[in-house]
Amino acid sequence: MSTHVTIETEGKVWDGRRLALGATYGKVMMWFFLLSDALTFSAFLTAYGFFRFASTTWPSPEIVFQSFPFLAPHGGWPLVFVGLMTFILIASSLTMVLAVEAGHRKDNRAVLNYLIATIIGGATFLGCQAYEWSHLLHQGLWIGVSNNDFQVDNEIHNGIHHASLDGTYDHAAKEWVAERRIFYPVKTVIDGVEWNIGGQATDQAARLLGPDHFPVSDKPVLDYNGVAYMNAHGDYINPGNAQMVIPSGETMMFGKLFFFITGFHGFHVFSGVLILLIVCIMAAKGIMAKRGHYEMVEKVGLYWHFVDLVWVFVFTLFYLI
Amino acid sequence: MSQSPHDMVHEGEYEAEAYGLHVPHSSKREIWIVFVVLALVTAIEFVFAFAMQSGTERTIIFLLLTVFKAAGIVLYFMHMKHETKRLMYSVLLPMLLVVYLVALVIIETQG
Repeated sequence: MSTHVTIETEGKVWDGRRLALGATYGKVMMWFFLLSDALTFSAFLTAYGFFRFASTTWPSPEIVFQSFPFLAPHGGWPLVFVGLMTFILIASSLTMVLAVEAGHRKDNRAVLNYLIATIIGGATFLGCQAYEWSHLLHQGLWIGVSNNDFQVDNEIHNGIHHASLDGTYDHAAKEWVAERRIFYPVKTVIDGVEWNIGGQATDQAARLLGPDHFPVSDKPVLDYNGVAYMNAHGDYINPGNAQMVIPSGETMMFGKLFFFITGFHGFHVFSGVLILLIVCIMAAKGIMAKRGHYEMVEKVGLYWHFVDLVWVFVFTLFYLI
Repeated sequence: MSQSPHDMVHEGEYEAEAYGLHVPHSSKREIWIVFVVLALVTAIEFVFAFAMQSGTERTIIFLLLTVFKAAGIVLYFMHMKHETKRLMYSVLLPMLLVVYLVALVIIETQG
């Protein structure tokens, strides 16, 4: 016998006979977990926005995200790959909500099939993210950047570049910037003067600093000699003369925020795939059919749509703005 | 006589049904319409990304479209539209704190 306590205010909302928020305990708790998770993501994304809009320059998404596996591995297809990733995640949200709908009809076969489709979508998204991370890593972007990696001098001594050691850094610097670093704003030192090149100038830069104080180029301009960049005045500088090239502070901040936030989101996707696998096994074994309801599918569905919801914001903030 | 809902749950009935709840339900048609709208809005975002210079106006357009997509996901895919007002406000009102935070950040970063 269960000991059901009847409280004086019978018939009122809180007497235990009616659900206070009109949903079952499990679903309400999932909603509140998602609320707390939403606040966590909000904190991260707001921090990103704070650094982004307070910075004078920032990596341009069309330049950073322009490669596509196999078809355009060296770039040229701006934002196409992330478009595909976004579509895959929205499609997996579609199959998830179709699984929930099938659960309401108590159609075990359909629930199972839609769950499998959702898992495939989630796993594909994770694969795409792994490719993108590895690609950016190879271009020298990471959450923290060791200064050594970015000093021309050091690269020559490590034999990475085939330039001579007699003090001419031309070749090394030129090649280095040309091959990898045009993707992000970099800071170069040429004859004692610091130059910031690459990236997109924000309104902030134009208003607060102006090109006189802080030369910021709109976009890298490649000239026939190799690599040259134009600043806001139209002056060319040749990074081949650089004594040192390091990523700008904004580039390093971008790396930290990008990998941390997409990593945190990717971890959510990964957890979601695991939970979906468990629910999938439950459906395959007929556990929920025996139980007579598919609330488990609804709950994992809420979580999965939330992951999609967060991606909508990550996509806008990192790839579009 | 009157059985408590918890007893009924242990007998294997759907908890929500045991409480006499109408379980929110959405039709396949509605689901597909929401999916197509989400995909279309994403496509429109791409058009703006390439057709418009980056700046405050474009950022505002992106944020509005993003909030629109988020509302679609929460209201239809997550069935928030069919939940009770109490649950809706319990989850959505705390998010106003985020709106406040974002407003502060925008003001402070404008120099």
